[in-house]
Amino acid sequence: MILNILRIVSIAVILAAGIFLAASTSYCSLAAMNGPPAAEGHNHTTENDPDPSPFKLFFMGAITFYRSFISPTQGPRCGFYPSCSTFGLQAVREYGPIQGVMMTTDRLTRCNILKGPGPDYYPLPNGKLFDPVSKNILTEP
Amino acid sequence: MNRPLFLLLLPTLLFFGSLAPVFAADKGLFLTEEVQVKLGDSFMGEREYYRAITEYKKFLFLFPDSEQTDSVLFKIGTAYYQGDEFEKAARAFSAVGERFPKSRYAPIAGYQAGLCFWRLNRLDEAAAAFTSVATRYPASGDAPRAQLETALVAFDRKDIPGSRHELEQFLVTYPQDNRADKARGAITLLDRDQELPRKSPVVAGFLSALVPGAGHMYAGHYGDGVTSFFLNGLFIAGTVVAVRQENYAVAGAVGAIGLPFYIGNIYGAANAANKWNISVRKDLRNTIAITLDSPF
Repeated sequence: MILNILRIVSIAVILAAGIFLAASTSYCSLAAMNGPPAAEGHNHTTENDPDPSPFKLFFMGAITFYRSFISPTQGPRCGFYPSCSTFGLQAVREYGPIQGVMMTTDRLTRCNILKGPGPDYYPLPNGKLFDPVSKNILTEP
Repeated sequence: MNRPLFLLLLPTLLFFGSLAPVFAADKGLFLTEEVQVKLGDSFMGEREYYRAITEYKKFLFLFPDSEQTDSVLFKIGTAYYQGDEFEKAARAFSAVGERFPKSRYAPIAGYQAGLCFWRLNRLDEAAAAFTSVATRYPASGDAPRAQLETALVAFDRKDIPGSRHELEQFLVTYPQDNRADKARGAITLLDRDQELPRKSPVVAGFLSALVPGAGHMYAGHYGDGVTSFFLNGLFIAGTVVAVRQENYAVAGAVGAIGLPFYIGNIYGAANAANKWNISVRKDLRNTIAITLDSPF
């Protein structure tokens, strides 16, 4: 049993490392190819981050990889604004990899067909529901 | 016309001809305080706030010692406020009280400065501005409503006793004011704050840790609860089945992807409870604001 658990964990670690290498490489090359980040309107790189941890780089790289190569194949279809990937980037950048990933997976779960306008989200003129990162921080009401 | 006569007339014609534009220009150069203020007012009337501000600022430059400086500063603040530039509006409104404390615009400018700080979510400064109006200009018509706004700002600062104190102070200071009944109604509403049907984020998180999605249900987010239950259920089932079949690579991959979703489900449940609490408190706050005829 313990051996099986060790096997599962080691495979998960190898998988994570593989994704990290692939994503961070693409992340860095994209940043170099697209020119100054300011030209894109949003600075999603870690250039201004004083302490980009490897985990942070991993998750931001993975999301950027998704945004660059996977998302364009199906077009914009997230019902929220900002989109789930933008939300994820902002959450990881502003709140670190641990809270950022929790916020992102929570957002991905909430991005379902049952969502609708209400007290938590208000609709924007383009039909999307406004759900910024700042409204998903655990603070005392 | 012979040539000598023409040469004699030419300088005369040139002289008077050159004077004509000067006279014409003189007409347009009579720029008085009233004209400059009206220029700004006309832009304000057309909702051209930034042009209005330019004209008002031109007024301050051209007539620095004018007696209308306080009103023009107030108009600059109003124009910025209408243009949603609350920081600059607050600066202009505050300048009225600082430079012209005895001006008739000082109380309303102080009140407006409080509204600007409120909009900027700078609650301490907003409370200070409203309190300043209430204490420095108690006889003005803006003092009672500034006192009422102070109570609502205290509520926004989660200071319920402070809010109650401000409302009671209002009733003591202005017992004959026609808003006294509204203040009493607001005090009654404040009592409801303790009775709000709040949800515990800790309980929500714990429930979702036991059964994914249960915490969302507890917090009233049924759709998210159902999604979380099935999503996490699939990941957990996939991992268990892969382990039973000794397919550890698949188990590791599915588990690695599913684990963040499981933790996110706990976070999301606590977040949903938090949102519920914010929502019920906001409802109460809006009811109090409507009772007090507060602008927001």
